[in-house]
Amino acid sequence: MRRDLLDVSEETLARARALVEGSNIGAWFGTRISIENGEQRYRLTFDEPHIGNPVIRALHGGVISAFLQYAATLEVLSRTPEPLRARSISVHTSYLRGSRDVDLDVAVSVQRVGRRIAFVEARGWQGDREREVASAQIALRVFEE
Amino acid sequence: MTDAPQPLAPGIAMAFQGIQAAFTKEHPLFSELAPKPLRVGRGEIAVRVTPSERFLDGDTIHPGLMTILLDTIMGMATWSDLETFQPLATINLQTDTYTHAKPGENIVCEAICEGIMDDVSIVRGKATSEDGTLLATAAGTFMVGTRSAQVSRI
Repeated sequence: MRRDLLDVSEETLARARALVEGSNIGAWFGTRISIENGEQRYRLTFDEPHIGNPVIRALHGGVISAFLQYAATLEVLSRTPEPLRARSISVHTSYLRGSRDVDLDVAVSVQRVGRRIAFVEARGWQGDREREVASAQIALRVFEE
Repeated sequence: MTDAPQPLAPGIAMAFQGIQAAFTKEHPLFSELAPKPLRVGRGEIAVRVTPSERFLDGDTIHPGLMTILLDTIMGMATWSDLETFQPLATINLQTDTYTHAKPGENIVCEAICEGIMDDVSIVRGKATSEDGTLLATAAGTFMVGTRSAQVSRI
């Protein structure tokens, strides 16, 4: 069984934003969501606790991976027609380039949402989308509410 | 990990003292998490962390925090296996989540560096709650001796 996704719209955007409003970690990431070129765009708003190495002021790799995972979950939960719950199963992140102490933008591509499992890819960049700093393959266990 | 840990190389032991001081006093994320070392040896690290409510997503701790903790401690496990201190960069990291941590519950994070070949370390990690419940496992690779801006995650 495959679950179809809703097209990105003001309604799916509102659903994603509502999920962030109830989440402490969503606030910790400084999560901002918008629609750009027909896709939902997730922004990690840079803040000092997101730093890994204070000497070179790069984002912490774990913070990057955690935000990719967070954005992937929001994308799935905001775009399925029926309300779902989701739990992370696995996140496999590749760190493609060094990061800097600025915002991270993320776009999510949902590959398949089955009855129990969703497969998602999330990609993050800082300024230049052609120069991604990280990408992640993510699997979620989904449950009907 | 029941045997006594093997001692760190002297340069690494000194570097770890500096890192611990920086973590507990200056780093805005890790000073809040206040990691307590439980075991520090050659190629192996274990720490205990008490996550704050800042990392809640609903009623439980967001699993992204496990990724943050495991990336950190797995990098440290790589350092602990070196003779001299060198910058690190995470190449890739896979975190598999078993269940979510509850707020106020201590988390034990362990990492073992399996080996370093051609400047690439292979590391595995595990997070459990203090009662022994598995929270997450991780496997990662790290580049040792990076010269670009992409150096250590710590």
